[in-house]
Amino acid sequence: MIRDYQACLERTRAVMLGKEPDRVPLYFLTSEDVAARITGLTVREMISSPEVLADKTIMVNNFLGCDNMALVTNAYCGPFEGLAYARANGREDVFVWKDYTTPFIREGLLCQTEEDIENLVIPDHSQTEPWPTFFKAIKIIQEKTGMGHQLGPSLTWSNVQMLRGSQAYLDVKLNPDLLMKLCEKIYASQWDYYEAYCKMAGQPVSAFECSYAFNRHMLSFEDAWKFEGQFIARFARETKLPLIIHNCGFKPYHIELIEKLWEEGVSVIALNASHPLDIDWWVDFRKRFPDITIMGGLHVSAEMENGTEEDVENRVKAFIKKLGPQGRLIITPTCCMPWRVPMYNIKAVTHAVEKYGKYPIDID
Amino acid sequence: MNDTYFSTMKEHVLAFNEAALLEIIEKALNQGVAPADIISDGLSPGLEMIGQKFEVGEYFLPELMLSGNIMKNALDKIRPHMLITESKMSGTVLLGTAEGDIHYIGKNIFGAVLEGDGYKVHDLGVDVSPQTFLGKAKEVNPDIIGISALISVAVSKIAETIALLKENNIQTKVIVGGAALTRENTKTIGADGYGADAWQGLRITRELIAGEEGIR
Repeated sequence: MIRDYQACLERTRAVMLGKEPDRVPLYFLTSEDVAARITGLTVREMISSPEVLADKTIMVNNFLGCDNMALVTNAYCGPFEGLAYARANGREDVFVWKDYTTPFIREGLLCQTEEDIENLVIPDHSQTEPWPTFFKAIKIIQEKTGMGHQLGPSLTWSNVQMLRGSQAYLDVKLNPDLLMKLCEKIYASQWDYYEAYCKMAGQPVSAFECSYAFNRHMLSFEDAWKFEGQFIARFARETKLPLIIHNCGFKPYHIELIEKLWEEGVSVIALNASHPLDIDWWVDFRKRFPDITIMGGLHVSAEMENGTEEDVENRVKAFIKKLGPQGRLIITPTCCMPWRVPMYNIKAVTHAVEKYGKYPIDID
Repeated sequence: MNDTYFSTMKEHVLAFNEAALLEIIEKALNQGVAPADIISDGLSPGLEMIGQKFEVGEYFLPELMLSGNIMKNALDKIRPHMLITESKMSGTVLLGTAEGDIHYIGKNIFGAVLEGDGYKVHDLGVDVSPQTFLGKAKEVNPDIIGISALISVAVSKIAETIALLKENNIQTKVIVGGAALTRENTKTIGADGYGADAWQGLRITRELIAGEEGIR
């Protein structure tokens, strides 16, 4: 299937600028799970070369019929950053490969002690695989389609958890200075990731920032800000990139985080999340932040996993009905689509957006 | 006199002051205060208050995990002073992350909270096969089996584990938790309870052991 990449880009651009697109854009956060099902390849086969990764990324996104072009190896500098850390520290044994789903590092093994944190080697992202392969693939995709993958830094909590494990939660109270030292190292690593991205894939226009500490069942807002938020603000100020905030947690601090970032002079242009699930919450959010694009609508473990195609269609319809007419909406099942989500339901999202998302929105 | 001890213990639990807590426990034991009373009137109310603060968003996972560790150490100090009948644990829980998943943070925090509430926890670690759960369940005869999953491929393995336990006539209630689980899929995989967080997990554990309805 040949996609009109230019139309995809214009659709997204219109939404981000607050103009009316031809229809509501559709984004999928592709990952190894769905890519393996569509391409028939294992994860290691998919990342075996920049050319293969680029080719399979285009194949998967074309199959899904979405308006973005997400690399099929997870959207952010998380799981594969674990691999880079493992390799940079000569501990590839702690990384667990999977054939058909996202591979992960064994949590907490690289930074068990204070000495481990002191001696932790930051990966060189222009040299340490898989990053060079990923960046080269992004470049190839840009050349072939004109579409780019989002820069996806992860400052800092997902990497804290990977490196320090559950001990990090005790460190918050018992050893905050040590935890801060680890956060600074992660920040330096993410900065290196950004520089390598710019050098090898080109200058990004925004940052798709994962803010995993900002969930109210995990940390207080103050601690989340201390150990993650301040680094997000620092990164945005230093790169001068506007932020798309991603938070796939169940009890997110969306409003508090956006307001705090604004106080710090950081521009947030979009929020990608599934929770809260109540659509009216998003209507209120829209009233409060009319210039922020909402990227959401479906939770991958709700209708997508447990519902029927009709449930998926009804959810998309309801979301577009309430939030589409004012624009600044991108339908995005969040987060990555895992196993157990039927392909029928994935396609149902695409069909529903085509059916109900055309402007002017006219539902019922 | 005992009330003074108990209220001081509660204060130390709430303030996460382990050294002071262990000291006052020592003093109370030396003064002949019954170990069971120390637990029921001094420590448990402190943990309950921490749970309440967690539920209303005043405390968070660090406080929950820290209090679990402190409570466990306090219980370890008290148990040698108890009669065998008194020193019975709250129950036995078999914990593990499902096969295919190597994430352990949520499971460990839950384990710490369980131990703090007086449960004997057998932690099988991560990437635990259905057969391993079955083998250990036969060995330790737990009151509850808790299975965690962060990634969705592991949900199928939880369903497989539950089916295998049932096939082998293991009647132990199974509770699940982790980012890959929801209240909805808890029902479809045949689990008896769902804990969205460590405190909810503790509550559902207590309820199921008391014979109450599961899945929250």
